[in-house]
Amino acid sequence: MSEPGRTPHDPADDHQRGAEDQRTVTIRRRVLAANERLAGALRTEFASHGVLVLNLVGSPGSGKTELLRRTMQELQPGLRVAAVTGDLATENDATRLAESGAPVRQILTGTTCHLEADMVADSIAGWDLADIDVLFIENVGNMVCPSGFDLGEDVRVMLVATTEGEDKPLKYPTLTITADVAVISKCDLAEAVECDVGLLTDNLDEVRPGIPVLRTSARRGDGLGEWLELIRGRSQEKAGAAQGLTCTS
Amino acid sequence: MHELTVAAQIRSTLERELVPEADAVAVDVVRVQVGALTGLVPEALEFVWPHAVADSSLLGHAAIEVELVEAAIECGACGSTSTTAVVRALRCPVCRSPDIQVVGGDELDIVSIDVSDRGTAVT
Repeated sequence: MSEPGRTPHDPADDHQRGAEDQRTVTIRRRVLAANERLAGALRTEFASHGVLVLNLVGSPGSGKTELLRRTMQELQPGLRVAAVTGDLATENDATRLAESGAPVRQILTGTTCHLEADMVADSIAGWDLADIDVLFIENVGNMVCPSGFDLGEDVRVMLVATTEGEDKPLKYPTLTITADVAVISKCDLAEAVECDVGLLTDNLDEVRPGIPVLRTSARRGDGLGEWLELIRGRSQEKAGAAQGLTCTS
Repeated sequence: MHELTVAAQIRSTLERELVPEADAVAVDVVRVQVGALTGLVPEALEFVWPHAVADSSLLGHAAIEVELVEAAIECGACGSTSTTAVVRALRCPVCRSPDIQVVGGDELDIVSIDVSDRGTAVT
């Protein structure tokens, strides 16, 4: 950047700037372009094998792992399921999910507070996607950072526990806006923590009009039927679309 | 927290692709646009930037200029167009209708850099 009142050849300028040559380069590049490219490639790969992919996002302790553990138990043997789960440290979640008997891998992110497409790609390497109907991605517990990172999923599921308070969707609009389905978890605790589940539902609909809201309790089994039907229906659609792809190609 | 992640992504994009393409040895200024839909706070990104690039030979002295791009919400119900720096709901801010189109606001772009071709600035 040249300063006013100076010519480009001002010797004083050379002295001050160490005789360097400075210029402005105009670029227009999306910062997350690499992640978006890889997520797109993953989406194509999942589609060609008819794999339905759900990305579960919610704060730490919102009940992602427990919902997933029950879900994976219930969906088998009708559907072939698999999961990858992200945490900064420990393999505890993978160990819990593996109780379902399905293939599970832990992604250790170190200091990264969300999953990125390359972590998912590395994690599923070696799995034959032809053997999987539904892949669950359990994101790192966080309601901010995961919202900006596409993982190639079909359905972004936002979990909010009754213990978190009714205004969570209003406090985290960026995630709420990008979610496809909302799951209210721990409904068995709603009365004990004086959570107004109706108000929580209204707040989700206020931020993201029309979003399907499922009220669940993984422990007691509330709402799981509706949740499982949603997954089965979407899986059938995805598998059907993949067969269409095969027939027309 | 999120802004530090983004700063690291800006750094890696510049180091891996943009600075080599620009054939430069050091970057003095990085200009970035963030849209209202990203939920990013420009001041927070500017705050964490020096920490994200402190050990970078290309970017260690680079300043960052972050511009917030507003989103425009066009309402199909009341016909209004509203601009907003923070999107709090997918509804018309005037009449609350969900029948809206959001134009822009998803930017997270590096728009330009000032680079040095020889040596680094002596101050």
